[in-house]
Amino acid sequence: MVERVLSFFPKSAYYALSAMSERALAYSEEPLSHRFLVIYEAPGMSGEFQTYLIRSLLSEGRIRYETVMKTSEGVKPHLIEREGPTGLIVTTTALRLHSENETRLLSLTVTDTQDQTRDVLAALAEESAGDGPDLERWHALQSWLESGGHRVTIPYARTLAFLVPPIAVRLRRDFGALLNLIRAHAVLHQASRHKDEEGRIVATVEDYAVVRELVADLVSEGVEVTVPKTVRETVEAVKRLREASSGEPVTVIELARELKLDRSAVSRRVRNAKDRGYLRDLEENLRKPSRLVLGDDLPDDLQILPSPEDVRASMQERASGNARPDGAREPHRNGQYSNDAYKACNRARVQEGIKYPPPPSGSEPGDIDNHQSDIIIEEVRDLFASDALEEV
Amino acid sequence: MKARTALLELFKESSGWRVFFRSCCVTSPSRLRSQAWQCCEELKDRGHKLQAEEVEGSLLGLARELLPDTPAAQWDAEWAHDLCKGALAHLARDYAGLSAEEKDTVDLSAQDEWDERMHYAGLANDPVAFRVALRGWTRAGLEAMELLRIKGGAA
Repeated sequence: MVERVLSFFPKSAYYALSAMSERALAYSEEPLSHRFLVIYEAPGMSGEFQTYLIRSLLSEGRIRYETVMKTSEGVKPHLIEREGPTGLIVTTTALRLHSENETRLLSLTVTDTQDQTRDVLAALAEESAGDGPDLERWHALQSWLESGGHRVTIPYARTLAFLVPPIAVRLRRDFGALLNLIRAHAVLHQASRHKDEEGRIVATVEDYAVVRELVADLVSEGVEVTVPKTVRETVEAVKRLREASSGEPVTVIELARELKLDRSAVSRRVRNAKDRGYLRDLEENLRKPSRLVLGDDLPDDLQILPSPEDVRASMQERASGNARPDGAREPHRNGQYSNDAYKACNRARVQEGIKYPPPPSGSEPGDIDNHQSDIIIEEVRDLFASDALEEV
Repeated sequence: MKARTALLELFKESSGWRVFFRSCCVTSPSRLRSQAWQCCEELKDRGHKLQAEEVEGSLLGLARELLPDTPAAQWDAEWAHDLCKGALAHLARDYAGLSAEEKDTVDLSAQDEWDERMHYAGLANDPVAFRVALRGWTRAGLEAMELLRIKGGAA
């Protein structure tokens, strides 16, 4: 699939590799600036130093690597600089990459349904029957874009920043990626966008609407306020099967039958659901069939990114002067974010262990728990006392 | 289930964990804090997903309730000092971003209530309440500065 996507771009737009040596990124003479580095298998970039170089390239937009070289005058320090900015496309069969890398990327999963397999087969058959698509026009578009304007202003960027609930540190990176995607979309559609007095392309809310459609789920999944559709389907299927069998644990084969998927696809889904804690396997012996039961409750499907309508409404408030100077509605005040965003915010606070100070008075959640522990503490106190006596 | 209850059940059930808890308490509060992760792991294995901070706070609280004569049950000034230092550094970063005029006008009175609660938590030898109050104090300070920035932007 990646190969097919890349075929729509000229070679100058990317640098594709299956694997590379530990220091290849530092020493290679292949230009990386304004290109995508494509690595066809994640193990091809698994070295510690390699991933460090890639992270630097992605985060800082360049590599500065100081090394030493033997010269006629002895060993001398030598600074290698590789200019970015560079994007990265990497494919893998693993459920997730190293967490430090994963947070710098947007993860897309391949649809594993029978319908998708049918569509893939049909597309392959179509390709083998005739000529492929005309790629020249696509390459010409890229060449035109290279020579066109690249500076973009997003007039609603601050509005957007205040409408996104700041619930997870990861959002700092994701929000940057979101703005870059909006810029990219505006560059792509620059022929129908206005320019400001400085000659910059002015991004519209439509640019955001398209990007949101593409990445809203990924952003919500990234900060774990919602779960992928495949995980939800799998957990709900386990629930249905358990109800139908009066609570018996479920095997992968039963699940595959229920979901109408092949066993390997289901095993993968199950691993993902188990990693996230939504399914548990009662079978400890790896050689025996799984005995799946439900784990944590699934969260509701929530969205972190505000709707384009919310962004427009904030912009209008700004225009009418009935808002903060940045055009955003007041953050952190109940009833002003969308309801979904607030639910997400509260859930993430709990997940990240951020507990806001309790109210100055009134009952605390967990009073029942306190009552239970007050009963146990007397017994435990006695046990500590008898332990001490035994020691004596 | 809260960390306190989960830990009490662990101690009720296992003499080994009681011995370990006592040995930590007898050594020092920092020993108890540094070993909190072990309890956290054990509770996780028993199906209780709890935050390390919550387990640490509950362990310190239980030291006071179950073994009040041990060093771990005494107020740990070094711990409180480190927490306060971190909170002050956090506030100082935002404060440095204010203009001279904003520094003169910033109203930090919302911190007073939390300041008082920190004081009483210290007097009551209650590390959990102290941590909660310190967090409230930090947040009140940050919000006061944020409010000033918003007002400044509107002017």
